[in-house]
Amino acid sequence: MEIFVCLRQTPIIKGEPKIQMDRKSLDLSGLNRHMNEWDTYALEEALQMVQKHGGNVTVVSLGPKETEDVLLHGLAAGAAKAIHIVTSDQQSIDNWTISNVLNHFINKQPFDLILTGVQAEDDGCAEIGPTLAYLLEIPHGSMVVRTEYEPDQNEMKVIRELEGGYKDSLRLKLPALLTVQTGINQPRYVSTMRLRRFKKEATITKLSFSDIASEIKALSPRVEILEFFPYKPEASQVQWLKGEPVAVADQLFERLRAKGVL
Amino acid sequence: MDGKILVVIEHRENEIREISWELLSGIGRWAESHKMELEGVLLGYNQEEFVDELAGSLSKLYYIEDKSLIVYTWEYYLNALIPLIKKVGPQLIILGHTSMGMDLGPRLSASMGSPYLPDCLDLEFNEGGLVVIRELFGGKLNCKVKAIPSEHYFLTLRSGIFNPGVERKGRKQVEKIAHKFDPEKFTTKFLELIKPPQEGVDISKADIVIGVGRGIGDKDKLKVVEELAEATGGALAATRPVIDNGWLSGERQVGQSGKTVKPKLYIACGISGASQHNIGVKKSETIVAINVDPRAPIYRIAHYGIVGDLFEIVPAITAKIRSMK
Repeated sequence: MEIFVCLRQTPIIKGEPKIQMDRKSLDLSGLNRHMNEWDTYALEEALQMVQKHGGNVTVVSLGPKETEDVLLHGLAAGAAKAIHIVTSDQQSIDNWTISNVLNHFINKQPFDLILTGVQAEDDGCAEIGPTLAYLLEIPHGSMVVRTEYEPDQNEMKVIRELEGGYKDSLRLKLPALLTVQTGINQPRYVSTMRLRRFKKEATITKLSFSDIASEIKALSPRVEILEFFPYKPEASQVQWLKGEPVAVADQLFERLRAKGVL
Repeated sequence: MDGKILVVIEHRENEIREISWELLSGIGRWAESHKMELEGVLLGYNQEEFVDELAGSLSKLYYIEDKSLIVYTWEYYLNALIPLIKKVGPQLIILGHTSMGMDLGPRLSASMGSPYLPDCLDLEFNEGGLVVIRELFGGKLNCKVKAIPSEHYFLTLRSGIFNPGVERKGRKQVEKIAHKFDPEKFTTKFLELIKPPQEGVDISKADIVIGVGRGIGDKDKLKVVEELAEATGGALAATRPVIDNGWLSGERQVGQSGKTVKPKLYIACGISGASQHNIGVKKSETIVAINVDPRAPIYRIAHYGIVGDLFEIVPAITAKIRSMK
């Protein structure tokens, strides 16, 4: 099986994100970044599939220079190839454009399966998977919590997670695209030492985002961020209980007892 | 503003899903204030009992009936909706940000060459384009997103932002649409709907629920919340990361993909409050949140907020409750 896994690198934000003066961009400098949580499960699922059925995993990511860290992680975890579609530092690119650029690269390659996470921690859009499947003209299964490759039929049986404990199962003709839900597997641990070794030795194929984008006819963004703004606390009804743990416990107990819930 | 809005109705196991009633009520009011017509489309089979009720809340209901539409699959829905949208010409096509909306929305909008705006909290027309409000980084930040001018805009709206309860007096106009599918050409085959397991604890039946999140850090540390559950006589529930890590079993999962709970008291321990979690607990009568980050979105739905280390606060609460019994 030839499997492509699309990875995104996301910043780890603790506390309040810093909005730039123009309100149209964020100051993400100095923040640690990691592989989008959902994508770690997509990568693991792909690696397990090729371990079982043979083939290769190629990891692809679009982003600025730092993005190569998630690709190195992919290689160190067991991917055979890594493709970095390099963007400039502060470039904000909508998911429609990203999907088109990924399509432009992937559709020239032989593949059986594309995997990606259900959604990204940063924008939570869950948009690229089904959009890329549309562009590649292949079926998609989203929110996948179990996969079963059926080589004789060249099909993939999947279980998808719906709401309230409901699931459904589908059979997709390959090639297909799946968006992978967290919890489907246990992503493997990659040691820092191994990562360091790959940083020295591994090869990442670099492609230019703007070169690819310019080859796509009539490609333009469909959405644009007008402004960022912090959450407005007035919408909250919370009553803060402050003090030492014992004092807080006393206050809480009194209030809950007064309300009749304890 | 003239024009039409088309809501795609959701159903499962012969019930219209809550999100659809929320959209009919919330978007219904929005449509009225924008002088737009609210129409809906139901893709189903043998669902006459809902057709009347739905049509009462809409200017018009399109009912596409076929045996294959008992359940949702992207390929059937896409196949039937594209010609309908072309015929009806709605400016806005609205879905819930649910497993169905997330699965269908991106592909449907891309197929129609239109912008897609997922998981919206609010929407407005502005300077000739559609502007929506959405969250980023799990609710740490909001943003205004503008779509390019387009004939159609596709949106998914978050569950729980509108209350259901439709009071509009529609014309009960129903247009039944015959659509011929050609499943031979389809690439995706629906196999079965898997119902939630019935055995084990039912956290949705408990009067007190103690929720535990990623902040607990490890399976070995669960004792602290188990003791609070025991002292309060409550049920222990957990967020997705706790279940994903195998620290507690799946039947205890609370939130959109797990169970919705509405207990008298919900105590969230080490839960940051992702929207998928909050949707499943926000109807609890009293919500207490204990977290280290004062900006965590859990405090937006909490009645009582405590900022601090759950390993210090939770045992103090447990001790207090035990001492008062």
